[in-house]
Amino acid sequence: MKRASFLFGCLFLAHTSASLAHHSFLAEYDGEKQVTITGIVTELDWRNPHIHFYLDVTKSDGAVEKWKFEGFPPNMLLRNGWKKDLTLQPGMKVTVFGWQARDGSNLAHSRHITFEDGHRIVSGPPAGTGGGQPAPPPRQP
Amino acid sequence: MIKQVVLVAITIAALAQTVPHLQAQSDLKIPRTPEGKPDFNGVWSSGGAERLGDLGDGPARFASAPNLPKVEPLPYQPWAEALRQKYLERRGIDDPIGRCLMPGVPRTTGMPMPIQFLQTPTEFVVLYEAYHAYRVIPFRATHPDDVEPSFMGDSIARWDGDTLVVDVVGFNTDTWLSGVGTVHTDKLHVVERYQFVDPETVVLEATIEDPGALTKPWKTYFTLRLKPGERIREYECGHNNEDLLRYQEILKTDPRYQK
Repeated sequence: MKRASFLFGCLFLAHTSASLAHHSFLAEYDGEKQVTITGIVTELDWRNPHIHFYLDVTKSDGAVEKWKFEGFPPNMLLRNGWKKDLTLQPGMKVTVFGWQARDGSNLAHSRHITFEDGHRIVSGPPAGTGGGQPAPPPRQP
Repeated sequence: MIKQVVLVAITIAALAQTVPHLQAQSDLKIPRTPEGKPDFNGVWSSGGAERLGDLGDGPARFASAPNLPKVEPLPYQPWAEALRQKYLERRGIDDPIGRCLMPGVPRTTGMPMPIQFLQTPTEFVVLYEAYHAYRVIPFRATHPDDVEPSFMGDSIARWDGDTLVVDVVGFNTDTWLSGVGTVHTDKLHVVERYQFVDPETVVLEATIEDPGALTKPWKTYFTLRLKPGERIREYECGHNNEDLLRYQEILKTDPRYQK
């Protein structure tokens, strides 16, 4: 049931936002490989056409794994409440939800970030964005 | 020849239709210029930023204008539909905007970044934040004889009552009309109709005619909401386009693309 809901969500989002993104989600990322990663922010690359940010993730055996995340372009983040150099800073502990790259590397397409105090912000578009569906119909209110 | 005549007849019929809810309302209080024309000046959003940024924590941040007609699938000729399917199977990796190319008309209006209208009695200028695109559209003009095929085409404007009508021709074939694989030919002809439906909302109806790829004209719609206080920012897509670099690796290594 959970899987069915997820697939429905992906199809809906793909249908409503297919023409809205800079690049194809599905070419690079797997919409069925959800990841939720907690780590320490090490860098934010605030450049177009998409930001990238990096986490150090400490595994149960103590080893540190590096993860890279893609997100919205800076202008989209500013319009969704972000402030450059303030919202996401090196040293912050965060939990990122997204979808992993098809090649299985530690690269993911981020959707939202949750901070230690529990508040959550959007960081990237939904799964399936730009994935290749026909023109989105106008959304009814 | 008969096919061409039929296509022209269908086009004229399609263009002549009036969307019921968009019929002129004499009591609609819309902004007007000193000359009495509808005043489109301002920064507008087609809703992409609000929709894509919506995590569902509250009410929807953007709503389309009510009662817009349903957008039908693109009525492709068989060769064009086959090509679209190929691009879909390739998961959109060939999308021209992934290479930071301008999205063309009408797709550019749906990009998730605002647009700005600058209106004078003689010109209508559209600035698109996405991809640095712009269109300088003269009133009372005809298309030049020496139009070169381009991404955004050649546009001319006229008034039809309170509706701004923009006629666009002269496209290259390096853009897609809407979603992934929505190809067209250089016979593409777009007629855009911009009309206020309330003082802060404009509906853009785009009629697409392409006798090279479509079996009949096709219509799509955009809702534009006025964004007071918003401004056009810089969006330099080519600054750090890592997606393109990753595409090159995917094309080399993923069996899907070795066919």
